[in-house]
Amino acid sequence: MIIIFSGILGGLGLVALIYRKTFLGLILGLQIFLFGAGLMIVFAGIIANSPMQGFLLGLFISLSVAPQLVVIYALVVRFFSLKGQTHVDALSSFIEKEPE
Amino acid sequence: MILWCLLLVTLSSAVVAVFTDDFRRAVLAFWLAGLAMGGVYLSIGAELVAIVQCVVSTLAAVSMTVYAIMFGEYCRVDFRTRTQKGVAFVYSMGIGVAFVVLVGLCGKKLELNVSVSNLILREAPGLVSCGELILKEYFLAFEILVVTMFVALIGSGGVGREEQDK
Repeated sequence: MIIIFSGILGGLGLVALIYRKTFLGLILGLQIFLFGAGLMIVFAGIIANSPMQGFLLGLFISLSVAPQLVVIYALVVRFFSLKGQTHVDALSSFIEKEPE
Repeated sequence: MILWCLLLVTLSSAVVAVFTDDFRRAVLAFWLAGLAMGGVYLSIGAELVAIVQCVVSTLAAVSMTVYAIMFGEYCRVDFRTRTQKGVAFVYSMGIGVAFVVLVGLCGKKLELNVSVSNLILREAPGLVSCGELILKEYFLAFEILVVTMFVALIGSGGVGREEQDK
């Protein structure tokens, strides 16, 4: 039951990654996805009778959110300075069209 | 009972954060979900993870608010039409449900599906034992994480910097 709950949380993050169309929405979805992953790891550690390992891996997952945020924010700032918007669809404008 | 309440708060906040159009509400709901997750960790005895979770989710919510104001996303409504949103909703929900089913099947195969009451530790490991384990057995992994954070910080400074020659 509890693993299903973590799966639902991760699934909601996945839904946000697809449903939202701005970079900030994608960051939000990624965070929720990692919430689910961390919860699953911690619970799996307890179920497997090694809670310490589960706690530490959950800690590492929680801490790894910080560099991800920093890198994504830097990319979004760069994108905003180039395009003046943060919509994901605008990424397709970077694809160079072949000369006819 | 408290664990169940916190889990429900986490789930409902995450649902609001994912599906609401107003980004302000989304960020607030995300923050609430992160704090409720910290409460879940605290109630099962994972104090260190709970503290880190609360700090990280608060920092993420604050930074998201700042960047949303900076990019003009804070008060903007969704620009998509009703049909586009409906298609995106159905498509994303399909993938999300498939993911949940996959996780459920894996949990059943690995016999991870247990009741919530079995998860609350009677003798939870404390902060001291967590620190000792990090220093004795997982020091390399911790160092790699720290170096990765440092490199990400320096690299993102370089990526976000405006080009001087223009």
